[in-house]
Amino acid sequence: MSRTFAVIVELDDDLRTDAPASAIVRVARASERAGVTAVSFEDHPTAPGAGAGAASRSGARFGRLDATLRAASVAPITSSIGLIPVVHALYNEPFHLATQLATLDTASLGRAGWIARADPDPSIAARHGRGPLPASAADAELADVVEAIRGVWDTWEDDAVIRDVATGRYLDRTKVHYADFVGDRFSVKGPSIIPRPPQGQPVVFGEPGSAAELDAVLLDLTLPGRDRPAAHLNASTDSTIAGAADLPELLGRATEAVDAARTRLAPGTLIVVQLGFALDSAGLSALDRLADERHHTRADARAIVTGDPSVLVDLLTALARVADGVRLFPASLEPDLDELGRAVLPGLRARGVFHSPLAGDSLRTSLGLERPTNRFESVAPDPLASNAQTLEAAR
Amino acid sequence: MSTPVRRIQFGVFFQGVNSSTVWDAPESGSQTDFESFRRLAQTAERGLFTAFFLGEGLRLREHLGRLHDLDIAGRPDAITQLAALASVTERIGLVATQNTTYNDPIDLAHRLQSLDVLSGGRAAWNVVTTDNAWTGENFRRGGYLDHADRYTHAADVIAIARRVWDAVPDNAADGLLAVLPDPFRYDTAYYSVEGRGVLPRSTQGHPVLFQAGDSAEGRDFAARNAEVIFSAHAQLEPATEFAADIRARTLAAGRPADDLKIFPGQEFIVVDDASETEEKVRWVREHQITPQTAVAFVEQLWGAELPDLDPDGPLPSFDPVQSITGETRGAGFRATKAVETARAWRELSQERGWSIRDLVINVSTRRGFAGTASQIADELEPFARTGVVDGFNITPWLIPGGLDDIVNKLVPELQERGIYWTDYPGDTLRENLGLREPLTRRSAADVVATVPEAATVP
Repeated sequence: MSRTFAVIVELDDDLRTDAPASAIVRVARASERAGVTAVSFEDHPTAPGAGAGAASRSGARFGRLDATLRAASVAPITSSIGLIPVVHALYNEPFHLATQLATLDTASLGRAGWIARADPDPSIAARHGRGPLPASAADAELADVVEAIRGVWDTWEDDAVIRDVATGRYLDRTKVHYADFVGDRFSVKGPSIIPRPPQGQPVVFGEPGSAAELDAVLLDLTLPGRDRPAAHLNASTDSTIAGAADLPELLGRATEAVDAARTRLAPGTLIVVQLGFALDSAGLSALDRLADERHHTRADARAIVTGDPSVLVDLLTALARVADGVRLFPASLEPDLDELGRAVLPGLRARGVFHSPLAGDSLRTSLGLERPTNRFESVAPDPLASNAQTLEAAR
Repeated sequence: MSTPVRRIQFGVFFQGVNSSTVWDAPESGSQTDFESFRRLAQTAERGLFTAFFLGEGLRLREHLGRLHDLDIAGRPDAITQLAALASVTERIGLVATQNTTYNDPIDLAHRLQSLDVLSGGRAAWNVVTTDNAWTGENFRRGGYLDHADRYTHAADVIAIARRVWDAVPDNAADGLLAVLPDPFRYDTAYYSVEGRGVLPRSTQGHPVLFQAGDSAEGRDFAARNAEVIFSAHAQLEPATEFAADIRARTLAAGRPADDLKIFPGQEFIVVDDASETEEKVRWVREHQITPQTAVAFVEQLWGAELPDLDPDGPLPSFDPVQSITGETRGAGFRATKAVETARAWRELSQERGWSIRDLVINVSTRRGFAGTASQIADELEPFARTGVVDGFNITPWLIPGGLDDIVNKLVPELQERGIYWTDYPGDTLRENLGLREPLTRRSAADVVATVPEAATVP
């Protein structure tokens, strides 16, 4: 079986510009030109670094524009890349999230996914006027939210709009259903206010180990226990730098982690490995670039692969044998995205481990996922069977 | 001294659910495909429309306990769809109808501000209130709000949104905040929330606030909070009365009389030859009010299925089985006194010799502006001369081609007469509407100093 290896690039926005919209459009177009499978949009509803001590720190960055809206804004100006916003799902209204994501899928002609985030951060709860959810309850809540949203998406069968002039009916109401979801903390009646999205179900990404029904999980690739080369990183990050010499270890860890996850996941769930990268570009070494404070690196434990683009080609070629895709976090958006399109993706295509999506493909198609059947679909009576019954009855 | 020439502006309302959209015409396209929205928005922008407006649905409409199946249905989430439209338009305003009851205020403020920044200062929020438990069944809090409290609650939500939008200081530039603004708490009867400004202000400061609502309470709410009011009074005489009332209320709220712009909703039916007008209007009305729609309309008031009712015959001779109508078909019938209304309809029909379908056409559709571009322009000139409206919010009866004749024929005619602009005056919606700074960002001195002469109450 030939497996599709997905390359997803995180397009963290940078509001250090007068025109954030044109910056978002520029990087989305660059990603599509490069031929990546999909782009993702990180999000956190409160300001980055809003914790203790942040108020006195000068030069704090703005927060991010809502990720679903950023994804929607690039939908009409792209035609093949998947659009995957991070959506914090614990305190929002599941009905709104369902229709927002269905709208993203409709506007992009079937290219929507979402990263379902369950962050029990009390500051997120507080802005919704709610008490924080105990961490132990967060995943159960997320599972409920995902189930409710999937139910709302399915409430319209694909052929519910009939425009039947003879009877004056626009809708066939037997093909529109109530979601009737009842969970521990909320309920949603339904139906959706927007027809079933083009993919039926936009692709749901989440954490391995979540009880939520996921299409794909995101697995961090780390190199723990290693001395951080402090000179190359600013103080706020725990990322570890990996170079060509670290590839065997990285690959070993990835294989182990993917195999362990695979045994716990529902069959068919995609596994996407998350990895930072910084590539030598225009005569500037990635390590020198990372040392420059102006290029922020992220505060997480993810490994950052550095060096010549061939290092990343080698790693991803090997990863394609164990995982279903990779979500790449460029250390600096523009030079790293350039190198990805110029050298990395052509290298992967040449080795036959990666295909760019085609214009008009849905994200499900690009990822090799089936379009799901509708949970409410009425079982159409088989005309032959009913004929047979009629004949039977007539005898 | 000659009166300065005023201009008429246009907005367009993409109807989400309504019997007024003709879905059975051969040229009728999808009501939900993005392409329909793109075409309508881009046509409107070609016609220099001020705003593109989306409604909101929070529950699919029902008719006598079952889903209503005769009208167009299914619409995108307004803010998400407008974010997509922002990248394929440049100057037109993007107005999202958003309910104050079933959104968390800080989350809603963040999404509206995101749209405003993304679109370069073209976002607006049409503030609506809903309070019924039937709608609440789709949301975490359920139906928690009394009808009587809907406006005090909405005022709270707006106040919180303005706190969010004002939280980041103006001197924050280049994406860097000198200091991160402190979080603020907001505690009232309805909310206990904690917010923090995290986004830069858009080029227009705040999203523009729109509001519709015709009760005395609704008008006062608009006079205190809104910057544009959608009215239902599109004919000259009622529009003049409405404008006088609104301007008095706006002054009473401590604002300049012209601080609140007035945009009645209206339908336009443009024909090439005056002799076609009557036939075209009849064609549109009969496609809006099909025999089935006429019967369903009567059933909605009567509160019962009337399977034997002849749409070409008279109204039922018996009274409705309900005294007050419910919410399930949207605002049209909200809390209408059924028995009283039925008697009035019966009298009206007998007097005019109307069948059920004639009656429904007459009570449920607007008169609209119908005729050649030149005839409609004649009708619009007095509005421009008197300034009783600032513009019209056009409800096209056909998707996506419903603006083509207006943009191709009527707009040039109005431009020739000098009562429609020939280019957008500004880049932001606030500039294009001729609005002052957002309400919470003015000093008292600003307001007095900037009252234009033309703003005196007529």
